[in-house]
Amino acid sequence: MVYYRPVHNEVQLFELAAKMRLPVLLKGPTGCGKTRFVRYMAERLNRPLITVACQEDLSAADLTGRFTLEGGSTVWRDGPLTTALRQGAICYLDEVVEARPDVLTVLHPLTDDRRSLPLERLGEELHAKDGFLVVISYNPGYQSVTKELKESTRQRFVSLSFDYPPEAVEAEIVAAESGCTPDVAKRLVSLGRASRNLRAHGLAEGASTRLMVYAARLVTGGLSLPEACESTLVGSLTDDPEMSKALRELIRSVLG
Amino acid sequence: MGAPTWPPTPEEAHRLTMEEYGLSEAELGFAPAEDAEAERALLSALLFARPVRVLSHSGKQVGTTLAELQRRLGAWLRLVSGFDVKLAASDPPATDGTTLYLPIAVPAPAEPELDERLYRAMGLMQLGLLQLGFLERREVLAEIYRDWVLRSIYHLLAARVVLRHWSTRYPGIAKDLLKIPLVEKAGELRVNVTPVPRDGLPEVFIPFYSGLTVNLNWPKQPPGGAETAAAVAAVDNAPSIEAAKLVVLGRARSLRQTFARLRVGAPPIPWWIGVIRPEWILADLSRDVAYETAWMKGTSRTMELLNEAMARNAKKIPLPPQPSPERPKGLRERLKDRLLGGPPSPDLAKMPAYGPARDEAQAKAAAAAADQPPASPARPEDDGGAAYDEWDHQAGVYKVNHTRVFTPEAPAGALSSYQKVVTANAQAIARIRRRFEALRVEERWQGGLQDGPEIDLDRALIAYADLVAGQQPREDYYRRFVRQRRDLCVMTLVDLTGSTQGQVLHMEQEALILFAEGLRVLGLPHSFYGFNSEAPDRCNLWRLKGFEDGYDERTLRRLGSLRAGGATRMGAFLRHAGSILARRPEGRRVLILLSDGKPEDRGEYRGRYGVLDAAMAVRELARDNVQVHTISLRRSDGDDAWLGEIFGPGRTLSLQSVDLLPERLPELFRGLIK
Ligand SMILES: Nc1ncnc2c1ncn2[C@@H]1O[C@H](COP(=O)(O)OP(=O)(O)O)[C@@H](O)[C@H]1O
Ligand SMILES: [Mg+2]
Repeated sequence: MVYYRPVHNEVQLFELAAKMRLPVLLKGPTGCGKTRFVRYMAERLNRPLITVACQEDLSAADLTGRFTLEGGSTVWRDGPLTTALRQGAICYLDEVVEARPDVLTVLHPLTDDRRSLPLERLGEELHAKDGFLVVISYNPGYQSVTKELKESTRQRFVSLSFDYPPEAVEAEIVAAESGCTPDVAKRLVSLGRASRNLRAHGLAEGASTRLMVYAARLVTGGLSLPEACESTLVGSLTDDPEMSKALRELIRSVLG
Repeated sequence: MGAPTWPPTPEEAHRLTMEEYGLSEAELGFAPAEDAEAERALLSALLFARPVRVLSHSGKQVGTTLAELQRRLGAWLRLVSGFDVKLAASDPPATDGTTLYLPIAVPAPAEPELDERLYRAMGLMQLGLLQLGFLERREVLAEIYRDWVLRSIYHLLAARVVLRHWSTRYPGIAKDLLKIPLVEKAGELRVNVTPVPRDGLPEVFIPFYSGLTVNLNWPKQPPGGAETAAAVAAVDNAPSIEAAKLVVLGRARSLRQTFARLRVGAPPIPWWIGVIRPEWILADLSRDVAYETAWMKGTSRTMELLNEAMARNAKKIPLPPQPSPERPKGLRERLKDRLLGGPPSPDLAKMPAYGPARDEAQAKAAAAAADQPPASPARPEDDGGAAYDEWDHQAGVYKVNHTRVFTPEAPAGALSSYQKVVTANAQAIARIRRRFEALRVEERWQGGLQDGPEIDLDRALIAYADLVAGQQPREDYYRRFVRQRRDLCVMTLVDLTGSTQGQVLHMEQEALILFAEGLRVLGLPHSFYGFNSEAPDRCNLWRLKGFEDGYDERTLRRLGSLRAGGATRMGAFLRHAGSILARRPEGRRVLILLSDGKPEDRGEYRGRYGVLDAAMAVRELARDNVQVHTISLRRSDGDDAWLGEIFGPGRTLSLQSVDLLPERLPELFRGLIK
């Protein structure tokens, strides 16, 4: 069973959206539990989950499918989206803004009442099986100056906003995910949260829950707390020597 | 009473002190003759020693400087507090409610570890006073403003709460703070800015200093300090911050009475604890600030001013009421300028075309430029300007030809000012250039073409498969090596309105040169203009570098000598920029606005009117295919909603410091070029 610690009413909201067959958009900073949440919901709703990590050269055919050559003859291969459609699965497009905006328009007919996908190559229109659901995620971080979701895409989704959970909950997650002591988790979380004060003021992003989990795992594995912090909270957050020093000083301030 | 003399005679000093305290001798129940000499000597030493503006730390004998630490110190303070920290230099440490002022350097010898610890402690102290709300109640500020014996007591007691607050939150900070009293150079005692000897302090003062500074000769429990010790203990034992705040004020008031009874003045404060300057926070005390400034500068009018101040105090004139709603924005800024030695704020009506030369530094720069060919006239009469409508949201109509925009050539200063910025930012420029260099690589394989010298294998395979499957294949399986010409031009507007005066202008100047140095590499057609207005029909778009200008010496001299003054007429500037861009052959036109994130200056273009006109102008530009981005330097949180309103979501980038430009600028351009 996938571990997910609900933070607000996101589980209920997602269930409702799934019941009403409404596509879902998960917004939130990196490493705050979006991917984990989708895995959890898939298991909870008892549907298969198909995940696509989006990047710039993802093409529409990569999603829907294409003919390939096999032993001299051509065979149609379903793409992940088509597979999800046929299986009634949850299709999760992670970091969707990384894909070119025009590619995402293939989602449009799937996200309204039609719930169908025209496959030109096969000359057929594929209707989604019952459990089919599109979920996309993105991080509306500072890079939104250059990367934005098209309005016509965005408006087709029910959006759930994620953020890092409250301090106590975050500590609970870190402890559960790493097996570290509550005290270690608490200290790591207070450190990590402090680093978010520098979001967009020298650091592109603060420490994510994921990064704290990593630090905690290093501690569980035998590393000392300051060392674990050094290689996660400092090393992974910045290359800027001044910012590194400030972070190191913070670690010393918090850990004593 | 004859004309006051300096220094005052002991009698005079005593009299003034009593007046200052608002006390009568009958009230105190003692005759001044009794213990006269020592008493008056003490009072006059503590209260009337001529204040000196202490500059020792900015002399040659200095330890670590603020400049060395500023960036990471700022980052660290932000990390531990979550507060939007801005740092600036002033000695002793103080705050004006938004910026923390720390000394430009700590005294020699340079001990990097220790000095940094000291800076952190000073920053924490000012930050704590702010964050815990010791400087937040107006009536308290007014009270301690009028009575600086009370102010000093209040400060010393508040300092204890601040230290305890940080120590309980962070064990590492607790350890650091414990060491501070042992740092010899931190502990110099001062009354206002005047150092006082540690020996011979009245016993009542001594309990204040436990934990703040150490003098081993002080008795732990001086017999005369019982009441002070009790106050200190009461503050230390307060169960919560809120309780502590009440205890501090209450105990400070009662100690104040005791001190008056004992006829002692303000307890001196350890240097690193800084000073509280209510007048920096309460803008409506401006008159008093003027007095104090003159007082600190020790002008010949000192005594006169002192007497006036005393007279006012004696009459117990109530403080002015809350500021009236029409109070022009930015008064505090101007006050601060004045306090820190800037000129009085310019009177818009009297302002010359390009703002007055600000201070000596600028006069000097001008002198340096004097050997250069003279700058172009600030107001070329041959340029008839161009008229633009202005949107009046209330009436819902355009005011036809309401504004007129001129594009004079900006004045050219010394070449060295440009070069200085380049030298100071060499690293950042190198970083920008490296990234822009990467963007410039426009040579790449472009696939998916209908025609070309080579086969795009991936696509060909797909097409072949389609073909075999009996489908009509797409014929886009060629590729070619392209050297792309970018169909893009960029115009940058720099805010030169009065509100940028000072630090922002400095940042803009740096940012502009970083831009210019980067864009030179990128090889896109680009231009720079500065803007400010004197009147609706006299809006200036100063040409710093037109599209047609190269980077010759004259351009560099224009780019390197930004000067601010005047008001904002954002809509007009945007519209005129649009008309310049409309003449460009490139298909995509981008306008970047570099400003301080303030929508308005003064006058009729204030508030919603200006914001909505500017928003309208941006829409007009969008219609004409000009994309507008804005970079605001120094955003104070919360006031940038209007930026989104004018420029649309995702089109604004707020930077707290120019240091971030090397990251963000290339990012922005990558997005544009794609
Ligand atoms: N609410 C949560 N419940 C359980 N684990 C969580 C939660 N939030 C974050 N995590 C932890 O953080 C890690 C990163 O989350 P992930 O879902 O990959 O982030 P995202 O997809 O938002 O970038 C997870 O692997 C998990 O360890
Ligand atoms: Mg993820």
